Amino acid sequence: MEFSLLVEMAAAAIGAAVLYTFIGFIPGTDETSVLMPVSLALILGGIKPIIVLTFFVAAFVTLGLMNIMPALIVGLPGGVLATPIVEQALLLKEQGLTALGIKKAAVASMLGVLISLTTSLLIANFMAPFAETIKGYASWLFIFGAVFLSLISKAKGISLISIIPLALLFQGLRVLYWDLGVVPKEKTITTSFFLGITVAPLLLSLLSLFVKKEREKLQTNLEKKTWLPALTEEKESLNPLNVLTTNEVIGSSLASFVSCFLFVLSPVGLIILFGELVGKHEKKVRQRAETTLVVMSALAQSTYMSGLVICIVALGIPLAPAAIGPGAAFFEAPPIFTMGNTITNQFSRSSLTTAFILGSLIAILVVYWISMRYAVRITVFVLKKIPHEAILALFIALVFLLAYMDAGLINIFGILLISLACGTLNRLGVNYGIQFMTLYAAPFIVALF
Amino acid sequence: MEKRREILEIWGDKVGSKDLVISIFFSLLFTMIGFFLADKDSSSQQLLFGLTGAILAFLLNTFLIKPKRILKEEKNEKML
Repeated sequence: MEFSLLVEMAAAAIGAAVLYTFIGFIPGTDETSVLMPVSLALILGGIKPIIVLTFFVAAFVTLGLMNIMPALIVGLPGGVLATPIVEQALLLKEQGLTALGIKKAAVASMLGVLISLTTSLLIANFMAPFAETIKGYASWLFIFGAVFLSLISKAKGISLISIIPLALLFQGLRVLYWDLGVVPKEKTITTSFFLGITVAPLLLSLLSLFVKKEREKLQTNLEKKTWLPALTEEKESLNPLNVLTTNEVIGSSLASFVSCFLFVLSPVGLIILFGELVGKHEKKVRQRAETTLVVMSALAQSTYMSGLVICIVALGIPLAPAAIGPGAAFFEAPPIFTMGNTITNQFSRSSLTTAFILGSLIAILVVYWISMRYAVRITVFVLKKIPHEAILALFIALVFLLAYMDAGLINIFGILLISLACGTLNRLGVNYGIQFMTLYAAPFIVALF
Repeated sequence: MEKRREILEIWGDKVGSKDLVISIFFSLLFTMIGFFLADKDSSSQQLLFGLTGAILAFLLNTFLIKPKRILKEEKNEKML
């Protein structure tokens, strides 16, 4: 690999770390919706995919730690992966241990990245020879994946029932567009459908504001306050040693290692499962909260890392939840990537590995330093200055833009239709993973009849 | 006056209904202006211009709208 390309990749990683530090601090931003559209736009915008991959790796590593910061500091999760942590975070906050929590989360996060990066690269190299065989069954794997994700979800029945109707919806719209001549026959619309699924819960909430009864449900009283910790001028030591206890090091390392082999399972599910499993062994309340926080912080990194490394470096099809949702753009971004001609097919395994190593190491070093030094300050800045309205509006504009570019004005209504359907299903418990798998499998499912 | 102060909770945080409409309006307007200013034959330019519009609108909205979160500073948290 040329040196100039490595420099560009490193620059992309630093850029991602800085940008996603701020995004990570914004409460409630879902990982899929902040990662996928940006990487998709960069790929479609003609930036070299390997640079976008480095950017993306740095971005998810950054989110993995930064999403935890607002949870620790003010009790608001920065993203979905940080939601299980809020409980421990509040416990530590009550005891005035926020600074210690930040330190522990940052060190654990670094540990999680290092362990899962090595473990999952080994798994990827071991699995790569079988990738061709696995790919031959891709369509079946997507159907199997949708069924499997349905069966392990909380809403099994409705999830299973919704698979075929959803496939009809996606494929129906595609055929309609071909029939009307708004898109050429050889173009399969995927990009905007993806985004439609991603923002469906948000769009559904917004659309329901037109209904008076629904609107009243969303009204809140103004009284709920968020407490910001007072700023201190003391400089924290950056030394990562001696921050974690021996038990915490063992527990989080082991959990990160094991989670790499379970890469097809839901990251949030694994975080809750292992966090509670390890934390249970501690008797004292404070110690239990700290250990659980440490294990969960490490897992927030390892679950994403393993899923993405194995799917992108070895398999070439998205089978892990982190690859199905947030990493979707590296598999389907027509005309650059399509199923069967993904980033895995277009780049050598060593280039992909380099992107992962470079992106994650740069990001974790940058965010480790930022979180130790500036976490409280950034939280205060984001909560005081960035209005939630602006963030919601940005997402909506992004979706409309890509919908219009994909298939013109009619597709804006197509995306509204998808959002109404997928958003409703989402409320009923049919998660993103099932919906994305169904989108991948749609042509195949419809052809079965 | 009552209508203007309506606060809604969407996607985990608070928004004002009127401010939300304003910010969506600006975001769509700027994004689409960007899109249509670009060269019709270059889809990557259309995307780039559209995104630039979206980001400009985000900055404008951030400047115009006050966040609805209620924040209180704690006095004496013990920092280790």
